[in-house]
Amino acid sequence: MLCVAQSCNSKLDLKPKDQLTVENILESNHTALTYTLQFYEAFAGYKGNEMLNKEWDGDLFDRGAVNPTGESPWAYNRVNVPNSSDLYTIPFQRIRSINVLLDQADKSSMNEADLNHWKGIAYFFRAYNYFELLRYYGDIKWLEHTAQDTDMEALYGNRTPRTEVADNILRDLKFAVEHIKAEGNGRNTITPDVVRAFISRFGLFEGTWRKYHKQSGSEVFLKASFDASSVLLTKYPSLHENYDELFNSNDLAGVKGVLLYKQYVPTQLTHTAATFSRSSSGRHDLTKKAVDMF
Amino acid sequence: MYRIITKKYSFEEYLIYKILLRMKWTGIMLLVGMLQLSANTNAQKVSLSFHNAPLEKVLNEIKKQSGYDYIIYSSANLSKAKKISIETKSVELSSVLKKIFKDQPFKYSIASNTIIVKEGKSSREFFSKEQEIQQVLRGKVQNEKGEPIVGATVQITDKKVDSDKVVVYTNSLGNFEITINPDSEFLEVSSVGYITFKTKISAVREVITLQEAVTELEDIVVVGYGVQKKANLTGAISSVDMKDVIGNRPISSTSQALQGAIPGLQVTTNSGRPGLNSSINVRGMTSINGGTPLVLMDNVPVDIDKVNPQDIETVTVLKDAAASSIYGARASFGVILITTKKGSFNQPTKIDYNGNFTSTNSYDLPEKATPLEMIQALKNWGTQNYWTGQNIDSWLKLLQEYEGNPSLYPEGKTVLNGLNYPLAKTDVIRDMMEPGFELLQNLSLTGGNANTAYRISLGYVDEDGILYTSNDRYKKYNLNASINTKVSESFSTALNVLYLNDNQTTPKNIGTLFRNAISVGSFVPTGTFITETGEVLPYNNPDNLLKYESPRNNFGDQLRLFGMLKYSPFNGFDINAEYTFTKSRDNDRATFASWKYINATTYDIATMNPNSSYARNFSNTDNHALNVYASYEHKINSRHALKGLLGVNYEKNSFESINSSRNDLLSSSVPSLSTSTGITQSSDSFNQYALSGYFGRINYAFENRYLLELNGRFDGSSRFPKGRRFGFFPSMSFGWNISEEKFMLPYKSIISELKIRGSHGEIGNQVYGHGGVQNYYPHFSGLETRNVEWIDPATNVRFLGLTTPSLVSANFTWETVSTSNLGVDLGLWNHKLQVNFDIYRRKTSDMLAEGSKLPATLGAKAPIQNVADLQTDGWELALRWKDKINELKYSLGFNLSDNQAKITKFDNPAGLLSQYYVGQRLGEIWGFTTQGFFTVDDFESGSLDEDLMNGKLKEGIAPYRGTPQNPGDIRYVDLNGDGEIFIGNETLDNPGDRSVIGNNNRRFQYGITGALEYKNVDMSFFLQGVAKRDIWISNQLYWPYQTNFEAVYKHHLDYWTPGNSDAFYPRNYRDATGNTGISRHVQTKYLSNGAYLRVRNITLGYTFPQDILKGVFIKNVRLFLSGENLFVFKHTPKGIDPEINYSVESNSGGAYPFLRKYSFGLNLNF
Repeated sequence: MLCVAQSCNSKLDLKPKDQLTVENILESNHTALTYTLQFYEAFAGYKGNEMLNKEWDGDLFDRGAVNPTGESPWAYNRVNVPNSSDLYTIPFQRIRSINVLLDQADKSSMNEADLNHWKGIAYFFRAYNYFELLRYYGDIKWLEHTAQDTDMEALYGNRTPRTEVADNILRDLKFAVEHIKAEGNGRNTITPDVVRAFISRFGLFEGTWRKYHKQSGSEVFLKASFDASSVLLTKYPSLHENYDELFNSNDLAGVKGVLLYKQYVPTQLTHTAATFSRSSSGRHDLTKKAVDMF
Repeated sequence: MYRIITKKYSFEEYLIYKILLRMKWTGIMLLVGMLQLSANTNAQKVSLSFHNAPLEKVLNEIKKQSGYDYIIYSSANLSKAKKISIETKSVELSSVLKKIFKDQPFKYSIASNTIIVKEGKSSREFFSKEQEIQQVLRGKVQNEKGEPIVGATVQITDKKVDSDKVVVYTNSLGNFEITINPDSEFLEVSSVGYITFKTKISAVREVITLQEAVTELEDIVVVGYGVQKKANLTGAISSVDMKDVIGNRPISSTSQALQGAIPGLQVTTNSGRPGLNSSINVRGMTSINGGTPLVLMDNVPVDIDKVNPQDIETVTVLKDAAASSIYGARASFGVILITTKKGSFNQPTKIDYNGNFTSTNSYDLPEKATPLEMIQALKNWGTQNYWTGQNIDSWLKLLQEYEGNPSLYPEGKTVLNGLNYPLAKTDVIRDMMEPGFELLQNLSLTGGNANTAYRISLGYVDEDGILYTSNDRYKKYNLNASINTKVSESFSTALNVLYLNDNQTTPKNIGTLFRNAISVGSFVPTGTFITETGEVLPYNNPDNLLKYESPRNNFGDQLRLFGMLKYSPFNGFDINAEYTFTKSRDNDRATFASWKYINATTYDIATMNPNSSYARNFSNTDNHALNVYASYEHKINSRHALKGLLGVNYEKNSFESINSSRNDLLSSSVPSLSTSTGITQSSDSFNQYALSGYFGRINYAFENRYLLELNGRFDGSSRFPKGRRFGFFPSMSFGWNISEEKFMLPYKSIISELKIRGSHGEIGNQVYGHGGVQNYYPHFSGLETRNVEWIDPATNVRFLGLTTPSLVSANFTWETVSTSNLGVDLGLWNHKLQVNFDIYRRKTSDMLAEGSKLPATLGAKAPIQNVADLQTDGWELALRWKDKINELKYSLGFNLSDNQAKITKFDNPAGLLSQYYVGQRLGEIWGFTTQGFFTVDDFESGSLDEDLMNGKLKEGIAPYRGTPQNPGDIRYVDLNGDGEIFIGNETLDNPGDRSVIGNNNRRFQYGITGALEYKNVDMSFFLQGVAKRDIWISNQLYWPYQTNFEAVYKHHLDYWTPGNSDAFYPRNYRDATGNTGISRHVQTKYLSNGAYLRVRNITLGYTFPQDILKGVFIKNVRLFLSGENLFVFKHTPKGIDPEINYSVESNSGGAYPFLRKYSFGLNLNF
């Protein structure tokens, strides 16, 4: 009747019945796909302030509701340096999600082609997030594995020099372009062509940055950009004729030259960019300078 | 059933027969439960009318009338009997028997409801000693009023110390018979609530009158896994009799009945909605992560509001760690023990009925300004056009016309330039309400014989709330059946079945409903509107929403089975095994049908629930609990008393739910998943936890003067990883009964009790979650599914993805809660006045919080760590006076408690006011100090324009930072003297001009109870209140016109204008723009006093005199009138109740009001 400590202890071993564990991530293509879908949230689209934030900080766009005088907070020295910023913390959260998958790769019993595909997807997104950080911060801590709260080097170590970060990004992207399956995971998912489009953008950025900052290695990035672009130019010789429609269409499926797009569906996934424009909610509008430019 | 045993039995045979019969009876009773027992309404008086009848016939008649079980003729040949002629009417049995047996060749005796007839000469000495048959002592036990005491224990104590005691109980007339032998020396008569009577047998008189015990000192109090004499308590324990607390109050919730009843127990109810649960707290702030008291029934957790208050005998609150630590990790913030009513042995069958018929209504509803007043106010504030387009000047003119002559616009509205101008005054708040009705019925059957006691009760609650339609309703059925059986001298069992079924219908979006009601102006049209196409559409006013929207329906049931085996192999030693199984099911059903309406403000036609749908949720919780414990009590001579307890506990709880919904209803009249055609969404969830504990207690008392108690529990929880799973929580307490000391004896008549108690204990707080969210697996980092922000192009639905596992710190562990308590119990003048006082300090250490922030490169939220400390100091006082003056019995009770908590450790080096900081008093309110309004004199003369704007403040008068102040704005005190008013950088070092201006903790909570009884009339009252509390109310009821979508209330009209510079509210600007917000910062002037006193209940009762009921089968009838929430004394504006938590249903200021109830009812006893 009186259970001994040991058996009672085992009675206290309870695990949730509706949660998977990290071991399940690379169990099958299905679980891997389901896990990697969250990586796609790195593409901000029109959601919330993420896209618009970048515009407000420029001088072509104004938030009338927040800034009724139209004075640029930068010009009037009203910008506070924040203690923390989503621009810094959120990419690192995504990198952690990605590294959690990569750390499981060695333990997976998947066949090599499938496994490399998922590693490629993860590498692509890691590169994508690091590119975001690189643009804002330059030197940035590179994490090859999941950081733990006891990992002093990861938490408090020096930032990794930007050249090394950029090299790592290119390395990751090269793996991705080679190993991601041609058809990706179906429509509107990451394919080697999407990776190439990104290499084209990243290579141009980093190549020119190095070139004009008089640093070595710019050719490697420029060449990577060139090679990737060449493939794409042959594969997709013509682009959609109406530029405006690329931003104002309900659906971009099947539009020429669009490799990947963020889709919005009423009641499923919406954005508020239109709500805040020229309405009492946000009084978003273009500045005079922006109008003059047209 | 009536049988005369004609076989000649010897007395010994008779005894064996009786025992066998008893056992059979017990068996039957176990099988068929309680219904087997016949009403034991023995009439001890008999009426006989016989002429020359045989003795047997006469005795049969006596048996029939007296209800005696048997008449035994032992070695008696009744044919020898002389014929009997007798004529009596309602004569005592004894004298009848005397008459009958006079001159008969028999002798007789009465023992245990049996008449024994023997051959021999009739004699007053029934059985001779030579036959070794004992003498029978008969008597009657009554109270001071002369009413019989039923079920009193009567026992004979022998000269021989170790002999078995003979125990009998009084019957329904208070009579008893007990056999005595030559060794018998003392007779002891006792009954709960009376002072035990003890006397030498030789001094026994026929009628024994028991004195009512004024004190409950001899009473036993339920404590963890046992009971304790009140006099020997050493922990901080408060206990109340539920009948004193709830009486005949028209409330069905146990928690609400307890509000104000026990010092230190805080019960808060967020609104008056039927079926709404209350929150319970013991001794104030628990942990920054929350924590609630543990509510137990039969040592197993229970939802307090799932227990019918009429089934509860007592409620005991274990407040300090010493009292509660035996329950381990979940008991750190107090334990509430619920003891249900049970049957007692040797009780006649009793049927009780209580019924309450209650009419409910709202009170203190907010009152809106009239349309004219509101539009005038808007004009005064500079509004030109209302937000729906109407021109304010035109509207004002129309309203003035309408006011002068309503027949100009018989429809109460007009159209001008294509815009609707509503004119008539409407009241959507009152439109949405109607008087409610509540029905409370309880029926119980109680009784027991020598071996079996039972109670079965039924409760029915039907509360139709005050909202229009019956869609606001709560129904509850309770069944409670218990049976206790002594299988043998050393073995007993108990079984308890509780079943609850409840059903609550709630109007959908009740928060929106109230927000809608309070935010529209008093001019909104009501009823229906006929469109140009002739369609009749309802306005979207609350009453129409109540009428057209199908309500949400929550229903469920709970079954609780309790089985107990108790084995007492020898005196003082008991082993208990208790198993409780609880199964709770909850259901939720909601239909979202589409229907067209017209917006009452904008006159736009719109559709409610454009995508119709149906949602169905189901959940099931199973709880298994096993408690096995042994207790031993031993006295070493008369000085040392030792008690020990040792036990184990295992508990497992599993929860499972299925949630499903489907779009596109085919018909709103048959809503179901099967009759919908759209997308189905479904999910499920599971939760489990298990606990295991080993506990023990030692009590030692030396001459009842020095008391010591040690408690300990070794507790394990599935919420922790292996290795950190178990914790040991010890506690100790002591007591010194000063009044038992020799030197106090001379003062015993004044100081009947004086005891000092002290305790200290530590309990680990099992972390339930962080930020109020339950976490069942805090050590487990799992992947859950969620809809990611990426559309599946194949279905146009968001992909279902997996989440990233969270980071779990390897080094978090239990929070520790330690309580030190010091208490005094004082009883004066034979306990007429009883005083209890406790003072305590409770420290919650190592609270989990996000510790030192970790760098963002971690990529996850910093794991929570044990880093914060909190300390609560408080005291509790309870006073009770109970006395009687001749026939007037009265009592007065008062309890008062207070506590304050402060943060003693928290990692906030910057001293940010947005976080906890060391030294912070919980509940403190930071704000500005109000100096008054800016006046014209504060501005340089001539600088103000004709609208009293754009002035230049005089030198030295501080404006709010960057604000062009105007007369009528609030002027704050420039506390830091920097020439402007500002919030600084919101740190402790630089709070700007703000300081702590108040505290929203409920301080000095009190309850006052009183009862009077005079002859057949009784009266009781109950007041409850909070003496000190500040609340910052920032909603549309308090502040005029916070946005242009709100209404103006009567009390808002006292706003500043140049002509009313002495107003309450500051200057308002058009549509709450300009300096409106600047004047409404948290500040001293508009800090509301949240103190209140509520007359919770007054009940008047009348009990019909006994002689009226004579001959009727009803034993007792009482009629009563009861009023609930009769008056409230408060300081907040009309329509704002300081007790309502406005943020719960909607933070708009609209909430379901508390109800005033008038109840008529009756109690019947059979």
